[in-house]
Amino acid sequence: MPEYTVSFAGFHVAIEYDSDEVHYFLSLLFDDLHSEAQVAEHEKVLRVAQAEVAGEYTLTNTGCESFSGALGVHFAAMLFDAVIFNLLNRNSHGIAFHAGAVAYQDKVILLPGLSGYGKSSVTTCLVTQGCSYLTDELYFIPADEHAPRSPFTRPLCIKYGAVSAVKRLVDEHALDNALGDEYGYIIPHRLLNPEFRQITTSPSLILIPKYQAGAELKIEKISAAQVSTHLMACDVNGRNLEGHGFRQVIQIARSVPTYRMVYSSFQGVEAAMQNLFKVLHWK
Amino acid sequence: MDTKRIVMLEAGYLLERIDNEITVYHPTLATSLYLNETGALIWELCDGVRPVSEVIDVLVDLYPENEAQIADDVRALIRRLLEKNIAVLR
Repeated sequence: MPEYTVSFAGFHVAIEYDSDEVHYFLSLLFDDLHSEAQVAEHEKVLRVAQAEVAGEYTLTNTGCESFSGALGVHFAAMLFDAVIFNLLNRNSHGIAFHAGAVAYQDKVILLPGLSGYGKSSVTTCLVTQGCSYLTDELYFIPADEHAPRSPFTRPLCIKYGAVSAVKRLVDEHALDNALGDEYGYIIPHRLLNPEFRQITTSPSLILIPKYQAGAELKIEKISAAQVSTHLMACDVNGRNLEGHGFRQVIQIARSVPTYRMVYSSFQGVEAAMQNLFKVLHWK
Repeated sequence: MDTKRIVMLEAGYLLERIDNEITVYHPTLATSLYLNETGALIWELCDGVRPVSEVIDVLVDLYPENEAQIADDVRALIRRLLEKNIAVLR
């Protein structure tokens, strides 16, 4: 069976597939992380293959069927979870933060947050306002300060609950060409960000999005102690690191200005971000 | 809360003081905690020797103008420590 290799932060996962439909699906999800070269050592071989039920596919992990369904948004979420788990399971070279990331004038803005904080929708919002997309899920910062940083660049994955807000941000063309179903949307980021360029520098700004129903838009500076506590909660592979990466997190928290953005809608975000860039002396 | 009891912090936590605030992380419990300036002071007074009542007394001596609030603040923080299993009362 042919294999599709996904690489991230020095680790590789192979996904066996059995049809052109699956290959197309894998390309949609992992195009920016795909390795053409033969990789000597994989972390894991997953398999996506047609199920007995027509139109359904099975995700197999370590010989066990872990999910079955159509190649849609839910299947993608299960596959992303399996791939990310295996890519990070033994990674002890640095910290992978559960975070979105965009770039503004080549400066990386990290958007760390747990599920439900609105990482993907705020990332989408910033991309539609002129920032360059890097990731809506994971950002890897190696312990070696000279090593390149790695955004987990995948399509924008918009969960069902955020669809109506995101529909107001993106044009119809992007949605028409996205994969959409009752679970949400998967939007190839080049539809919003056609001139994509990978940027692998350290974050210059941390912006913590926090959705709060009914709240007025507010962007406020928070202290290094506050952000380090927040970053520890977003540290995905901490278990592999000495002290769960606490010292590296403290170093990041001390060196990168951090703001919290409380919002209930995206109205006014563009002006607020421009004000923030002025405060930071970004032209 | 029985204020005659002593707050005992769980061993093994990592702590960093940044600009009079504290961030605490306990790797075994995988839990983190942010303490503002007041919280940081309370944390340091929870030295495994002083009972809760004495922690409150020390703070009231330092900040008599906030006497009414201090006991509530101390109890609230200790409750957070207990909820996160970072401390026990003995």
